[in-house]
Amino acid sequence: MSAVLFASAISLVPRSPYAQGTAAAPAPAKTGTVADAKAHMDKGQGLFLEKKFAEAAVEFRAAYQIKPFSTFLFNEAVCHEKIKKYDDAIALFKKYVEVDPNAPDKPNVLARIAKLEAEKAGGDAGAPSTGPVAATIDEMRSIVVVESVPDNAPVEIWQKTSATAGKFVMGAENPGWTRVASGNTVFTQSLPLGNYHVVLPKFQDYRATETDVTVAAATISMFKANLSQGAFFGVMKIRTLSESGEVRGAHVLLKKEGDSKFVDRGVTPYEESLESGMYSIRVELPGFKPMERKLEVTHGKIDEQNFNLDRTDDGLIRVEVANVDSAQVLIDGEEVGTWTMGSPVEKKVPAGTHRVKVKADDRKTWVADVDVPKGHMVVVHTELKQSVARGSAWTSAIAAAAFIGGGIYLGLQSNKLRDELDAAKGGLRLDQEDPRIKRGQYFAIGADACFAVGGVLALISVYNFVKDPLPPSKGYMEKPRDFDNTPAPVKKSASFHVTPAWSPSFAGFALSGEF
Amino acid sequence: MRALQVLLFASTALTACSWSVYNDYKSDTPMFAISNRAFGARVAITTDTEGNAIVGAGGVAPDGARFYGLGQGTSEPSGAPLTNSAQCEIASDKITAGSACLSATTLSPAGVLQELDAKTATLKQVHPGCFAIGYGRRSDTSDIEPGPIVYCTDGGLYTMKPAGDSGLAKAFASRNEQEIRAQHVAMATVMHDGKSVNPGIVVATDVDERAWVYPTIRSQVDPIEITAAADTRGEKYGAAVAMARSKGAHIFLVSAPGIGKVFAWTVDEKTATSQNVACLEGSVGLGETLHAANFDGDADDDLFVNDGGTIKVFLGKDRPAAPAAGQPCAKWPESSIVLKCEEKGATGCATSGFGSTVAVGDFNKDGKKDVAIGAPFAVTDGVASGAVYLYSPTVGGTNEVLDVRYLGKPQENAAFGASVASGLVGTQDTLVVGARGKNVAYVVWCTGLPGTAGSARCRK
Repeated sequence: MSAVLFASAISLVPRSPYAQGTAAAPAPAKTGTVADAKAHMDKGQGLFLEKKFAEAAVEFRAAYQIKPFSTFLFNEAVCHEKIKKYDDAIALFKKYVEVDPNAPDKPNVLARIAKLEAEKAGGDAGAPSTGPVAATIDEMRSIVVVESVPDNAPVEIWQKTSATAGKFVMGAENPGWTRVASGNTVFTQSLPLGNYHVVLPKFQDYRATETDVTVAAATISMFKANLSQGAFFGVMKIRTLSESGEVRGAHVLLKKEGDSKFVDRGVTPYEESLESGMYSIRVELPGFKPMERKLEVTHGKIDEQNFNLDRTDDGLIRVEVANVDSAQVLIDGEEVGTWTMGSPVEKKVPAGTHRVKVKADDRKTWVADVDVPKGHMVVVHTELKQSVARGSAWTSAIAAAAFIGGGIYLGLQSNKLRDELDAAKGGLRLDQEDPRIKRGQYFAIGADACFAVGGVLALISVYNFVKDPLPPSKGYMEKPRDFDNTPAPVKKSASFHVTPAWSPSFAGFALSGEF
Repeated sequence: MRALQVLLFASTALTACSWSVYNDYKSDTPMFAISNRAFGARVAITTDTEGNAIVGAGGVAPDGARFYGLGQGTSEPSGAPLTNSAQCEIASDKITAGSACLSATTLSPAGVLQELDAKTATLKQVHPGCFAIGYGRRSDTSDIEPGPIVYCTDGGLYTMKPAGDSGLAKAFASRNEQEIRAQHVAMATVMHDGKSVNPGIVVATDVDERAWVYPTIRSQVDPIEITAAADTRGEKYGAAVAMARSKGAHIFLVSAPGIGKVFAWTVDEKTATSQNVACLEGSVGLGETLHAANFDGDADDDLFVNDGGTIKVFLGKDRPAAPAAGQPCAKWPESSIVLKCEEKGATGCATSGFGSTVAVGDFNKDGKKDVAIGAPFAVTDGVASGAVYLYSPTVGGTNEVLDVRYLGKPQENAAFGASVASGLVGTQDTLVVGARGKNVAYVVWCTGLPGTAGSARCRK
């Protein structure tokens, strides 16, 4: 359980838009979630620590444009201060105390403005320091955001001002604790480092709700209170990442401790306020191995979890066919389905090379080897071209086989007769009018004729099989991509029905159709 | 694997693609078929003075006999191919214009016809080679009476007087055509009368149970009757006839299988008388077929007699002395040579018709005569197609079957072996076999006898 840190930095930027008399602070212009603002804050914080103050300032401004939290103004001011852009820094600090007049550190900020104005008057304005400039995370402000269900509930934030102060007790005197802010939900407050206690006093029929908060540097602490239960929600944020960056759309399934089943709560990027407790999180995304993690959600905390997903060992082949009404799809010699218009054939396969064959009646079969990377989908598009009718080829092939078969039979018969004649001659019993001589001769002639005719027919058959004036079927493969979660659309083909119908006064057929 | 098998089949089949290889099977075949309508019932072969081997084949159909020359000077079986010498002109040219050939109920080689030249006192060739053809109707128009004829290869033709007063013509006239053709009625061979080499003919009809001898074909003489005593009536006298050289003259043999007896006759041309000089005796059925040939190489022909499905051999040298006039005939003792059917190569001996026809020749050129015996209903390769059994008999030997010839492609009822004959082709005794059911006469160039010459035809 940890609060998310937001850090900012200031870099040296020679010219300031504020110094040139532009708006002292940017007006919120963009819409977005706290998470979007936080993304800019994260980036600004990284740049600040790298001492790229000018770039960091731009990020904090972007964050402010999404969510007008005064903290972003403060952090941007610090960036300008670092590069001694006094006008911008002074303008932003002033804006900060203006939008957040109850800021607990208001006296400190006013002193800081005075100091900057003095430095500016000192004559070194516009001359950036050449010495090393320190940049630590402690210099950044943090934010506490308090929401409630229902909203518009009163909020009080108490700061622990004495190290010896005891535990905060609602309704008691609480020495050592000072109330630093109050308002109604949704309540946002920029706060320096320290220990705080957030109280939502009794409101309407709801119970009072409270929690301790430790504000670390550059963090956003979000709290959501379920007033009816008198407890704060914890916030869970889940992002899914792959080797190539963030992937979206992974299903997040949660199971609270004690529950028996996972419940699908949505897809990444995922953010949800949850009751405190232990949760099992399961993230599932086609093409990736599912991941599971256990997490304790604590009220008042934003828990952001990154799931680095590993690709699965298999992939998906999707086959699309053009030019035919239906086509048979075989992968690695195994029939996987019949393609029809609007319903592509899909098959999960182990990563690697697979032979895809698409065939249809009267169409030339298309065959290709498809490389499927791990956890990716490859979409194969084919266009099956008309095939040449091979009826005559088959006819001549069968006739050729019959003739050659007949030739073999006659040849064998002839050989048998020759054996008999040899035996008769050996026994000195052969005469020149032996009927087997003539018969053998006829068989041999017949065999020769059969072989000749069969051979010619075989050649004709081969020619007819080989001859092909029509183009071959075509196909191409799309670049492997992540799995497409959207199911293939199912198109209902138009159909007509004719049904008999009758009544006492009528008999006939009813025609109905679906389109 | 299956594709390989198909390929193998295809290549095997392709090796058969060349039909021309079948032409090789037609040349130099171990057997040569001569086919014509109604052939194979009778076969005969003779060699004329010019070295032509003439094969005659005939049947009981009106097509009669045809003659084929095996080529002049053919010295060995692998010589010039057999050509049809187109000698069936007997009917169309010589007997009746445009009518069918004779019905050749029997066919017998008569060989060279020679006569003594009175001036030079030497023998002069009259015809190079002749065949005697048995009785039958001579033409469709019946304008020529039945009787034996002799046809010679140079076109010579002799029509015998149809027994006129002797009753032969009457006997035939009383029968219908079918019956006459079914008879076994004639045999012929060369007759030596000291002055000429002149075929004589012996004929018989077992319908009337009578037999006659034509002592010469050169003149129209009445035949001399050689009919046995009245007690042979009803015993199928005349079922078979033969003519054999014996003791410097010729004897004429007529069988009566009903009593198991064969009568041997001599005739006196001058007095036109005959004498029963000897008898072959055996069980009932003896003499269903008769064949005379010189087997043992001496001066006398030997007799091969069917005795109830076996062939018994009566050697010419064993012929007994003629009895005194008026005495019963003397018994001609049989030799120890008995040739039997064996279930070797062919089966079905009991019903094979073994012994219906016999030929004698040295088929394997070992200097010893071999004997071929037809069995037209023997079973080969499971088919009753017929076979010819070959022996090389010796007196006192076991006389086993040495070879069996049958068709390379057996055919039911082919009746291969319905007739057999032997004759010289060049220097080689060659077997001719008739297959009545196929209308084919086969020249069997090669037998499987031990030592058969390895000509191109006989190479395995």
